[in-house]
Amino acid sequence: MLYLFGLALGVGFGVSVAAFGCSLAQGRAVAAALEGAARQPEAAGRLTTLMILGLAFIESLTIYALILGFLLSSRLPETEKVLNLITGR
Amino acid sequence: MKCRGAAGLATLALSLLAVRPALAAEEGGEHVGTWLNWLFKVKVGGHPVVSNPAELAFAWAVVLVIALMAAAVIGSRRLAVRPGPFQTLLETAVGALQSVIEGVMGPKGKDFLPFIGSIFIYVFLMNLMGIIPGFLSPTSNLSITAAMAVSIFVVVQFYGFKESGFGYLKHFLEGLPPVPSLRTTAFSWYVMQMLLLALMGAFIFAVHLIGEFVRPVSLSLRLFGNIAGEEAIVLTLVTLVAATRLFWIPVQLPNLALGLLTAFVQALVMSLLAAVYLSGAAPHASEAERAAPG
Repeated sequence: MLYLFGLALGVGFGVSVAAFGCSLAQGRAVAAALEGAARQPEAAGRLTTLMILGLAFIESLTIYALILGFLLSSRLPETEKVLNLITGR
Repeated sequence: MKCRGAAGLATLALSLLAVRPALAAEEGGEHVGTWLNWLFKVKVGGHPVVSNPAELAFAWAVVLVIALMAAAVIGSRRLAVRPGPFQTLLETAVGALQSVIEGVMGPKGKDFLPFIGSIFIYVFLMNLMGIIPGFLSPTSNLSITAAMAVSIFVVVQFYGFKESGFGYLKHFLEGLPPVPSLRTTAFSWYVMQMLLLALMGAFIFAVHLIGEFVRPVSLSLRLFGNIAGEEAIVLTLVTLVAATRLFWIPVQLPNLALGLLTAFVQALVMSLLAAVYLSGAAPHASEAERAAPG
């Protein structure tokens, strides 16, 4: 029972915590790119390409957490079964 | 005013197109309904053509490859100096790809334009296919993204060995301090430094080697996670709406619009990363290109 509780919590918190860290990092990357583009508007095109590349790297870490979430959530039982377990069938 | 009416009609038409797959999603549980689902029932030599839902992606990949070959054949017929619209479109796409690749790799990017350009077009169109209702993106299957990632890995290693021979292995020893010369150091000091360098070298080599092998894993998982995640969201929303039988409410439309952006960005990232890895495997790489992350 504790195992299922832990599993459900893990599935819920996994992607959320990863997304939290990802948003901080991506905010910093975009802020740096915008600052650079504000200083030198003619470099904006090249900066955009580099920014997209950097954002994709940061985002891929959250995608790994999402894939783990997919894997774990396929191991969660149906709500019916858990309710039967709790009420003793 | 004409535009707004047309956009509203298009939305309605698109959401109606989603009726059949939505019905299939409801009756089949969490199984995606596509226009090629009849392949589950077609038998060739006693076995059905498609036996589990993951294999549908391969059927759709075949459809895309046939369509691309047809477009290539039609586009390269009667090439004119003053081109028609289709040829202009193709030339614009190839020119834009070439400028992006040469921006990353320098002048030798022109040799790799066919490879990296094909990866971009293939991945972009495969990602786009999933957005049309009733179609399925082949990239939502890990095998297809892994195939592309492995091919990029093989090309990068082959290029590295072809350009520098066994000197390519020096790329894996970056960060190692230089070897002391026997003329300026005492012999015992020299032996100790060589021992330390060997130890550090083994460690650094192992780390770089693992980083090199992680690259195809991260490439495939990044593309797969993005596209399969988007499909899962759309499937969940459509199943929710299908349960209420109100098919004409396009709840999944904002996610599909985000999917357009994701399709383009992920294709761009995959081809840019292929270009960056290739330029990192080249001999006499500059400091900036050597620092390609995993």
